[in-house]
Amino acid sequence: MNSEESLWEAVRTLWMKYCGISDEYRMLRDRWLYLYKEVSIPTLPYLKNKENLTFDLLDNHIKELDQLFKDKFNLKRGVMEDYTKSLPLLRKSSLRDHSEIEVRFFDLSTYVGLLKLAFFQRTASSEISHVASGAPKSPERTIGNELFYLAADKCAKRYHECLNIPYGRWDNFITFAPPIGQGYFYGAFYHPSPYLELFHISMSEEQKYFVGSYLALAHEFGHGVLTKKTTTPEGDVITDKVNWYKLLFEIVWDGMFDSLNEFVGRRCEDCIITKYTDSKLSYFRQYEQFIADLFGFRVGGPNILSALWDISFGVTNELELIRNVALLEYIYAHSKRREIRGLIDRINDLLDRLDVVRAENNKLCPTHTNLSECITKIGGLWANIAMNVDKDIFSIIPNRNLGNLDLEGYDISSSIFSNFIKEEFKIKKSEETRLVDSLLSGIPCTDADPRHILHCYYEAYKKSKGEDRPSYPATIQSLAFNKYNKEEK
Amino acid sequence: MDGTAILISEKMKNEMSVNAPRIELTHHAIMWISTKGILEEHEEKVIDIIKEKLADKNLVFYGYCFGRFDLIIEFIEDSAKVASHYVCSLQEKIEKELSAALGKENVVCSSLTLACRVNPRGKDNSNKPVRTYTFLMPKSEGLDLNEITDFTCELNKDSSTKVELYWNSSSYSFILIGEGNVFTDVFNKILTFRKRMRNDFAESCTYVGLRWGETDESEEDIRAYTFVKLKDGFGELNLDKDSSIWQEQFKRLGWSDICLEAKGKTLKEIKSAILELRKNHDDILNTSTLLLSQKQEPENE
Repeated sequence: MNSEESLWEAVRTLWMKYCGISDEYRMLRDRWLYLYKEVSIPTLPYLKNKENLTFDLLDNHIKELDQLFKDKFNLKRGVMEDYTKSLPLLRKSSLRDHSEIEVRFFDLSTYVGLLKLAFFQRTASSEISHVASGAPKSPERTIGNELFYLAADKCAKRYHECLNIPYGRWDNFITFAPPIGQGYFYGAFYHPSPYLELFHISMSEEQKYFVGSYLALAHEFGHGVLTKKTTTPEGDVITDKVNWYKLLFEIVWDGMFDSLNEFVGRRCEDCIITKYTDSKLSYFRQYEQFIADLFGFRVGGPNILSALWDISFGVTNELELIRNVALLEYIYAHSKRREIRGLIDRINDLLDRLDVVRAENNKLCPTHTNLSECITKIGGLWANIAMNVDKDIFSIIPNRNLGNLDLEGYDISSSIFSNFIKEEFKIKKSEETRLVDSLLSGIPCTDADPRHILHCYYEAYKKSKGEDRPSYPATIQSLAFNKYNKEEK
Repeated sequence: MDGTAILISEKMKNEMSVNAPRIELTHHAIMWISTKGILEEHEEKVIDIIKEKLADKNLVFYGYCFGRFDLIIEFIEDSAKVASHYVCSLQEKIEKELSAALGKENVVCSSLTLACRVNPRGKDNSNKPVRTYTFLMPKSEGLDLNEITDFTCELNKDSSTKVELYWNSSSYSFILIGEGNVFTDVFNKILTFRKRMRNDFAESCTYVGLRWGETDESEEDIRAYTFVKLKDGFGELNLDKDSSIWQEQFKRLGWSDICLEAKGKTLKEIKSAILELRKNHDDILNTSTLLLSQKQEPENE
């Protein structure tokens, strides 16, 4: 087999897969739009405006891919592939051409999968209208749960409105996917697409059975603030973290070493926290989670932290706890003290529980000090550096070029973070009381800000021990049928 | 905000109840059971299991369903997750016992709707033979639930036929549950509701239940189409020994193989004829009946 034949085998295989997925997308798109009901609530959101919504971007993407296959390998949709006709181009093409197409195809495939999942989830109720024919098909707990998905869309839309996200558009639909890919309950994930300039947010499927977990959506949009599109030296188009975040992390990393220096000589080298310093990437990723939490809190309110702890309670992991402490410290600096009383009790409980787990695994602190001391110290450092850099980055690293920090065009004279926050979370005491009481009584509040509804649902949930619980039907109704108009407020 | 804030003052409760629509905190769990190839005696066994398992529940309704489901069970439960657990357990028990009785598995399948009353008025007392479930798809977010439930109250005045509005989580976000002694009366009430609320709801579909062991009353003939699915996927039925309610037999090109046109006085009569049909014809896999209202008369100008 010669070189062209070798390339041909791979390209042809990719082509066949692409043709299938591309037409699957086209069928799905048309079916989705056909089933969109103009005269009823949009359980299938309209994703086309002939300009820049999800279907428009995917349509363009397919055109680009069709053209690439044609330009690089003479493969055309309307005809069967032919080696001899492709040979002249195969001689000129390279592995690079195959890779470029494959990466773009990956974006398309991912989206087809997400759209398909959303489509199935949001049309389960269509079997209801088949009163006298067909077999039961809905795989959900109840015949249809479209209002849960619509409620998630409305919450996501509101969080999106409150943030200034530099890269990409939210694709306008939330999916609920099984957590299989991650190996644990991840809560929700944010997935940006480099070529489509879209991002998707999916929640882990079990989250739909607890409305309070929708608070995780605020955190995911926080990731959007930290993302940009870039091209590697090799010419690959990827999404990456913005430079100001990378710089912020370097400052934190240096600070951590300085802070942990006092533990050197105290036989802390065996400690799991100092061992993490072998893995800068772990800390980089966890710090990113903290910054996403921070933005989530700024637009979603302090119950973000309660929701986070309820999701990850079983994860007794030092790095997670550092992140949690950091967020608590940040919230402490930003909120009225009484609002976080319960949170302080909870973090102390989590730290105590971690100590018990470590003792069971014979991982006691070598210096026999309380582990909480270290975690609190580092968490506090994370939060303080974030706050200081936010307020005045140039006092810490003078003479840096804004463009190199991906901050060109932003006013950072008083705060970096504020550039990305359009609407801070605020709620009046009277509104909080009204909403909590309403949700406890089963009264939907479709006029309220979805952020407030979720916050108050969690407030009522935290206070209840089971019987006096907030009504999930009233909450879902308040969100799915939400009429909140920020222009009128 | 401390713990005392969740104790809602009576004054505030009264204010809220006067002005705002409310979704009841308890759930009506509606279990829809589909079967294939089982006879009347097996359906009786299913009902016995249900009555035993739900003995300590507020069992609102159990009986036949006309349509692609065969049986409906409706009970009240505070907690959604407790309700769904009961339904799943019931399904598992029914499947196990029917498998043992029939010598074949997977003949029964259940679906669930969790519904909550909107602006509940009075207790959930139900004993009428006919119970209908009309799923309603709302047109927009701007539904005035108070207006809708005020109208249902008006419809219910001085009538033995009642309707009440419920919420659920599907695209058909509301269900109008009706009950009465006469099917055509209940259906007329549903039509009156739909006509008045046509600006609020995009579409609707109705499932009809007949309470187990009860007979409904008749005021006018009820017409129906019974769709028959044959085990072989093709064939015809010799109806000589069957009920006189069967008017015509048609071959079908779709999911079902035969369509039988029926006319009966009551739902009970139609259901009895269907059960007899299944008993008389071993080649029937399942049946599904679409009830029709009376013929549409042109409106007077």
